[in-house]
Amino acid sequence: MLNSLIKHSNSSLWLKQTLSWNGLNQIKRFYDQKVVDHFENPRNVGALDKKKQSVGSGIVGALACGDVMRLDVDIDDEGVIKQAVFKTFGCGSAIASSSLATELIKGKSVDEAMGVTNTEIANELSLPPVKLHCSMLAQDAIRAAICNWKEKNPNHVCVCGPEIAMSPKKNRIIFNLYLATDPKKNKQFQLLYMKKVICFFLFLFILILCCECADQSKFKLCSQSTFCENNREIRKNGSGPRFSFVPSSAKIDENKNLFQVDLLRFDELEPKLFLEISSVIPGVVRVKINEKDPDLNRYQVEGVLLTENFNYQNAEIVTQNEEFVLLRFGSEKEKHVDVKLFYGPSWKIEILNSDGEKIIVLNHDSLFNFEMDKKDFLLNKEKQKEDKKEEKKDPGKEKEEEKEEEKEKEKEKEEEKEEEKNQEDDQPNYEERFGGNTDSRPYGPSSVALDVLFPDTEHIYGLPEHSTKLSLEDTEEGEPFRLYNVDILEYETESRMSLYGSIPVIISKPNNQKTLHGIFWFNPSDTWIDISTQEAQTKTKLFGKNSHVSKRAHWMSETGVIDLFIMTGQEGKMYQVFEMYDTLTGFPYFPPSFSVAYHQCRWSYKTQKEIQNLNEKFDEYDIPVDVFWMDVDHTDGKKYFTFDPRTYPDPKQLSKTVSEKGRQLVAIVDPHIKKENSWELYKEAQSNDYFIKKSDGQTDYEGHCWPGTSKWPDFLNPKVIEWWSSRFSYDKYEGSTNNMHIWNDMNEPAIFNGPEMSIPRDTIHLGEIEHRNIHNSYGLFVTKGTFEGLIKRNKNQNERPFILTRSFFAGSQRYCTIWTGDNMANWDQLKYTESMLLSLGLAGAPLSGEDTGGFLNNPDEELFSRWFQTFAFHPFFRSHSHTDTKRREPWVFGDPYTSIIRESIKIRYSLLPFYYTQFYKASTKGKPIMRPLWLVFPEDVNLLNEEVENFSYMVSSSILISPISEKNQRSKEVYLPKGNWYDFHTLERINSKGKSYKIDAPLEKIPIFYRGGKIVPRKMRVRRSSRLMENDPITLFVFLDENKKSSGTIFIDDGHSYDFKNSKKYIHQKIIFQNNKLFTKTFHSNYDPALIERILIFGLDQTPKNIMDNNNQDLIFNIDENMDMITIKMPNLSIGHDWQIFIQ
Amino acid sequence: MLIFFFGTLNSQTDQSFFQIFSDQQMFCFCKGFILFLTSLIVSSYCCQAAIVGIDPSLASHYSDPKTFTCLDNSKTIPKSYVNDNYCDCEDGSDEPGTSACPKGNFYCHNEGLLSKSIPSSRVNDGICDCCSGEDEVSGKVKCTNTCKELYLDQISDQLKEQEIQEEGYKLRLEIRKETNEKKQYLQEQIEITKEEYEKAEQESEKMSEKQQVCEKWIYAQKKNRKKVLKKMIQERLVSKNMEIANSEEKNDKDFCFLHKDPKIKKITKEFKNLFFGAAKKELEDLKKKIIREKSSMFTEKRNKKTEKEKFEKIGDLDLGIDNEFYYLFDNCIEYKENKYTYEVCPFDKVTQKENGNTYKLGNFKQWGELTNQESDSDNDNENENENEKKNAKANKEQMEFTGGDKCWNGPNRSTTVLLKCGLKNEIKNVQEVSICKYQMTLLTPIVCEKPKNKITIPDLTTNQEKKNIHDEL
Repeated sequence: MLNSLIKHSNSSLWLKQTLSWNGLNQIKRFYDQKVVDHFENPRNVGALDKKKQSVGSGIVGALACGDVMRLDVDIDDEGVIKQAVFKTFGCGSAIASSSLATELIKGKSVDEAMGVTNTEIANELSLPPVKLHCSMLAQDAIRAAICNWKEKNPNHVCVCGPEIAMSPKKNRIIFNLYLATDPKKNKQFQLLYMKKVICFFLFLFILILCCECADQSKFKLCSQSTFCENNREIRKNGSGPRFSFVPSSAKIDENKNLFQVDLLRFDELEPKLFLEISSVIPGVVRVKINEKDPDLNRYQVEGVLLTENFNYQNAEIVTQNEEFVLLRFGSEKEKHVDVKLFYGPSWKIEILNSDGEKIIVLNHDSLFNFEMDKKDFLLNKEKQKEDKKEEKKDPGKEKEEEKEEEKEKEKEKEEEKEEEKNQEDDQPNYEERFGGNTDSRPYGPSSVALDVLFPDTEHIYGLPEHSTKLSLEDTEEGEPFRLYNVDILEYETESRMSLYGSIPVIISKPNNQKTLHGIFWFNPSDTWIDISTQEAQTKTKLFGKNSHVSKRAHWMSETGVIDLFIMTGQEGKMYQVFEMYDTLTGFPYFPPSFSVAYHQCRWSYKTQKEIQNLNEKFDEYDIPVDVFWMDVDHTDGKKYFTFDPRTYPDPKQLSKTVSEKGRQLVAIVDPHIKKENSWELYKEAQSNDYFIKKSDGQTDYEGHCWPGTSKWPDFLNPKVIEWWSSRFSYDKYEGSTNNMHIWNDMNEPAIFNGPEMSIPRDTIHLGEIEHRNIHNSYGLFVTKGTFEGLIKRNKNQNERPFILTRSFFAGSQRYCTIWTGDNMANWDQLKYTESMLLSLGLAGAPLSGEDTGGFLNNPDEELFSRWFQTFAFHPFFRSHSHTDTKRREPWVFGDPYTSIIRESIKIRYSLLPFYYTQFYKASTKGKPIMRPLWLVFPEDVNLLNEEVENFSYMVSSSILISPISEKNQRSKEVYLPKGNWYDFHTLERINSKGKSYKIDAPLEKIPIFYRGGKIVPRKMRVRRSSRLMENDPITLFVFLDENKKSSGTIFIDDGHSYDFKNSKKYIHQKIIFQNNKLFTKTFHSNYDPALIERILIFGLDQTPKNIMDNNNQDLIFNIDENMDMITIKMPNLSIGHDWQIFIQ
Repeated sequence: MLIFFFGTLNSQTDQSFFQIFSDQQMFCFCKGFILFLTSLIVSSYCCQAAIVGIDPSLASHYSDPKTFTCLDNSKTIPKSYVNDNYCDCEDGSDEPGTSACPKGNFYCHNEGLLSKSIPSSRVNDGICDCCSGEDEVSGKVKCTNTCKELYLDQISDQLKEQEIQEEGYKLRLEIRKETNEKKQYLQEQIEITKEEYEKAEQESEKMSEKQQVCEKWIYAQKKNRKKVLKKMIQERLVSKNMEIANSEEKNDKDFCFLHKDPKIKKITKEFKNLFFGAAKKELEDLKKKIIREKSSMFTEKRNKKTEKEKFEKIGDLDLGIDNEFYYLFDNCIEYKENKYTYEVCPFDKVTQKENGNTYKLGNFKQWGELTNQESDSDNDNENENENEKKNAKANKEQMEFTGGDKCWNGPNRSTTVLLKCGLKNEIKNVQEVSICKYQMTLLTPIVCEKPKNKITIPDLTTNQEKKNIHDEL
């Protein structure tokens, strides 16, 4: 409550302070007594004379982060710290950490003190994980202080040089606010007491800020991002810098697939930009704008697009005049796409489908912006300065004559100043500061922006990952959607803040049309998108006035080029756009079948024994499970690719134990590498120069993450990917086995002390590429390396990897499954999860899931049960929890909850053949697994209504799930589109007229329906793990629609290898019911057939006399007339064989 | 019986189902064939066993040769439907020997040694769940019969356990004797400490009185001296004043300020030194002495009080028969695991040490389990009466410690100590069962029980022989 109140009270200081009174008890509970003690009675407060040779002083931290620490040490001739004092501005943990740090290092030698680690401090104070950075700050402060001393006493070599040490000068203001005072001065007792009281409330205040909404303040708002602010400004002003195309430069290249034209800014003589239009695959138009001068060509990240899939369409100019040029791509009559380019001055580009309808308009509102490079700005600035100087000189001359002598002195001073200025001028200051971090921006502003109009479209979707409603809302009143991969611990719902991953894709659903279009803004730099609605009145001959609602997306990226893919769907083809997008960026990977089953995770199962115990417990409670997860603590000191010998002494044995029950392990491997010179892996990376460099391009960037000081491999370097993947080989990754799979976390990359919890944008990758150019794709490349590693570790390279990632970008679907990061155990998050996953599915990443139960906080029994009931239907189904939460393995809550959870998991297992088929389909057709209802029923206009849309979702087009996301809710209005629906639990039929029905939802179940017209294969013998069910027979659930028709597909292979691809060992069969006949249509059958033990037919509305197979054998069946259900017992048929069943 | 026997045979041939017949069944089949030729009585023995996976206690339900009625009476089906690898009964009773029914159970006979029931989903899944391997007949895996080893292992574990129990029980009796002897002593101690405390209390009261008297006296002395002093000064002053008055003829008003006169000050000082120098020190010393005596008196009183309370607490505690649990009193047990050192002081507290930090994992609260309410609320005063009642009945195998140090984002630490029989006091293991909730197993002879039914090493050969006899028949 406190939490949410604060978040919603628009930073009202008064409110926060009032609340802090109430929060007092809470806060006391949050912290260890030692923290409070050290905070209330800080030791060694003060400062030393920095001018003294023996004194070293270090200042670390950032005010915006909330903590700044100054630590002074006085070191004697023998290198022993005589005295250590500190001043800290920050929350309690920071003060306590620094207080303790001074205590710890006093009397130690310099080297010993350098060895004081943050974990030591954190452990001593029992700091909560969210406060670990405080202890890191203390560690940095110690090192900074000692380094400062070493600099003064150069006979010592400084080895640390912390990244974040700053000159004290910059932070003068901070220390006026400094909190702790010296308690020893008794005379000031009263004063001190007062200060303490104030101090404590400030502490509470800051603490609330730190703990409750620090996340918000750690991340930029548009107004704090220069380029976002500037581009938004452009919109306010009406339009950006005017550009127009140069008609004379328009041409089609020799290969006849690229149209090129120069783009000239109104105030320039020579065009500096050029535009290219092509159609890289049928139906997809690529529009690209880059700088003309090849020296200034912007960096474009490679390895995201699958250029090998490109199939350039023939380009031709249909008509051309002074005003516009009409281009046509593709020769086939009905599949071609037309592009109409208006030269300008207000240039725009219209994408037209083969019927001549406008699908998308680029630069409709002239918001195009292309900030040129540094030189451009330099020129401007110099001009401005010259102007200013001239202005200044004139009045100066008069004075010159009057006071010559004084003037000379002044002149000297002025010269000095000017010299300073000139120095500054040589390096113009484009620096951008945020959160105490400075982004040097050596290349100056280089943002790109463009508006995209979706004509006659009320709903657009996509732009994952955001915890908002599925249909993208207008952002004019608030923050734009942001795509910048960051680590947010407690993310809020209904927020457009960026989260862990980003896919710059928007899918549009034109009004009254059965198709989808899409755009893919291929730019991995920091990107903001404003969405707005435009209404236009048009007159038509027949109906008079018509109002058209259109959506506009204003894309703004920090740097890079404009590279836009427009995917145009054809009427009647709802899923075409997904196939197009996947052809560009890759179809989803096809993970091994175990990954479809249930996963059990926690941060952390601390010992091998604990997992072995789980392995038994799940059986004891008769709950199926396939995968046990090992979070960070399984490693030896957070060195990934290792196991802690004390807690995981024999990982191979563990692996063997779980595999005996057909189960798997997943180990976490994060991309931060602990800086530990004795570690072979670190040494290898270090000696090969594999780490990302600081802005100087020379020294390795260092930051803080779980292991303490760490470095980040430069995954932009192909050699690094090669190296990283080689580390997964069984001999190098000691203890790993073939049933151990990988989890890549913190790959945004997440850095505790970095700007916005990530890496500075001015760090340097291979080829002097600034990180800002590639930021959002870093996580993708990490998973690429991991994927290749898991392929290579097996000699035959024939095993399918399973990888989970937190950070992602367009293309990530090729390598890994995605989960939505650190959610919280509350009803709100449960609610918004569906739209997050649906959005991911629409943007080409269908294999996704969320931490079932909520990562942070403790769910109550009801919430936990409801969570399982709905999440059992999500593509990726894993329970996970934070280390500070109560245990919540499925049996912890006891009955009836354990039974509910068991039942939910068992339902999932019984549906594995169905789900596995959907996974296969996703990997070949790119179709989302979880679908919004409007995607399945595009003709049902009711479904675009927000209310309805957010209430239910479909799995494939066969099962409708309507989650219960409110406490104590025991029934629900469920909208069922027109047609037959069958209750999942009771199998009762509802013939819906396309309206809402009140459905009971007691604690034991949520509303779930099979859709009439679909056949769902299930395995009703649910065993301990999916592998043990491999050879079990299948039950076919045949649900008839109103026309007594039904169909469904099933895919079967070995579930773990690439044999389905390499040697075509699989079964892919369609089963169809029509005209009272159930029969197969086999696409491919080259694998062990699966026996059908039972066929259930629903909704036939007639009592069959007999049922025969194609050998005229009578089949045993019985009829439940109440249910209108026919059960065919053991028909002696198999999936994989062709057969027919006749009902008479 | 015979008809049924052929019934199962038919079902096999007619419907060619896989995974129906276990080794045992086949064994039965062959055996049955011989038996058919020899003896009908023995064949009946065989064929009842022929339905794989039935719990022997339910065998009668499967005896009808033609039909079978589901155990929940939901329907009656032809006998051939039993174990035909298709689930007909909702309750799973028609498929005791296959994995067809989600709710079914499979009975492992395990040669009568360690028979148990397992869920049907474990039949033919490639994992040997019955030690005899009878749950896996599909041929996916070959199970080795481990029943005998398992049984012997179990027996030998039980024997070991029994040995410890016996040995421990002896120790317990000895301890009981000791504590029983101490019973008198404890009772006495309660009395004695009570008396001593009262005595100390009285004495300290006396001392207080004495001090008061003394202080009064000192005060009086001081006052007295002051009076004397005042008088003397006044006397001197009067004479002096007179002089001054006479000589300078000052106003009455000015008289008041006479003491500011340096001369007068000098006189006053002289007098003060005269009267207070040594005498004052004497008085102060006396006062200090009294205070010292009083404080030592209080310390003693306090000590006596804690001692008294300790024994009273022991008196209040449920220490079992003959106060035997007094054995654990004042007896702290340490346990080291990785970087942690745990210490359990039964009836007092549990602590955890790590890198020189000590966390309290709970104060002794009670015997036996906490109710939900108790574990949720940190308020120790609630339900006190109920607790007492419960304590009286509570089993002595579990001690609850609550109200330890607070976790930063969790509850107060608490610990459950399970007492298990062992030959000496030692902690066997420590677990953090959920956040900040610990569970420890404490081995101690004080809970060892006299083994009720003595386990003996079974004679497995006789079992086998019995079987052989049957076979020969």
